[in-house]
Amino acid sequence: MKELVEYVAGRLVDQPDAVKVSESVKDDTLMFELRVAKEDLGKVIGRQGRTARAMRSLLSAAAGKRNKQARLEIVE
Amino acid sequence: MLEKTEYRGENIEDAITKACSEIGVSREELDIEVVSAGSAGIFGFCKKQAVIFTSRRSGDSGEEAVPAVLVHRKPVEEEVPVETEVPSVAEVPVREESEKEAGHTEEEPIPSPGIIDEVGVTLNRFFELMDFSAEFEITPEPGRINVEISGEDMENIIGHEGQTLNGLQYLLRKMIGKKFSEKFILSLDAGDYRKTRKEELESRALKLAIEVRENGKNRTIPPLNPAERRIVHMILQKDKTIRSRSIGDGLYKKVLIFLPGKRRKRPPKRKGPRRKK
Repeated sequence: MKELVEYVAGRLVDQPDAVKVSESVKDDTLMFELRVAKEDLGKVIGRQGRTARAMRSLLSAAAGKRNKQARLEIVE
Repeated sequence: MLEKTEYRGENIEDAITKACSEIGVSREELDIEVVSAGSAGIFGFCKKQAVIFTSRRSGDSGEEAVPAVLVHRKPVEEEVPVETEVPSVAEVPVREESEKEAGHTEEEPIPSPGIIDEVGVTLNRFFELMDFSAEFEITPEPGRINVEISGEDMENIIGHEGQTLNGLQYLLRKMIGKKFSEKFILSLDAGDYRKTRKEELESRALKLAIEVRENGKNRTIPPLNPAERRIVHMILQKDKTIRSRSIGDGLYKKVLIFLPGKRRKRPPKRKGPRRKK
């Protein structure tokens, strides 16, 4: 699932090399931290957070299949 | 009151100009009452002249509020033809019509094979990464790519109120848009979800509309995305007894259903003349 975040973010930004995702697990929750180049922050967040929200709902769907929850943080 | 004189012209503007030049006063000094707005007619037939009544304003006499400079009924005003040219031959409007139509149905190109390929590859990768087992069929149309998803994990792919499906559609469109600048609409569907959802929204909207009409209270539909709001507005537009409007900020807005005339925001316009500065 980390790859999912990497894949989507990598295809949305101008500097795919700067995309970094870290994953951690806390109980039933999978936590993802996404880092992108400063100029690309807007691209992964989207207008009114629409892109971030879409990524979160995909992550939740993927996690839900494994009876887990997912959280995605976009780190500056 | 002074006597009124009747003037006719091709339209109101024309009639007023005639009146002004004949009486020899400026427009501001006339009281004008529109009797008929006139009509440009169709194919040069059925032309109707605009008719107005004018009289000189009583000037600065202490008389109480002289009616506004131009008194006329609103619907009439809307009929005033914008263009003053009246086509005299039948051919002219016909040609215009066909031109307009051609502009409307201007063929949008079918998305290129490269894009269709890209949609397939990307979607496959998505399902692989999400560990979903699903198949899909891509159907290109002019200006549009439809994707029909099926398979075991369909429910998961749709998500609560289509959230996941809409998210996927949105991200996919953005990712493709990054590579290709072609314009097209990408529409993902899974097992008739869109159709079912549309019917559900329509029946909910119509049910609330009946309630609004019967007891006059406003009702709202919980926040919807733009495409879903559109469905609601479209179905309610057919019912002239009620109105609908989106309220709220952001992507998701509620749809308010109300009776026209209710919820007037501004106080009614003053009928008297404008106060002098």
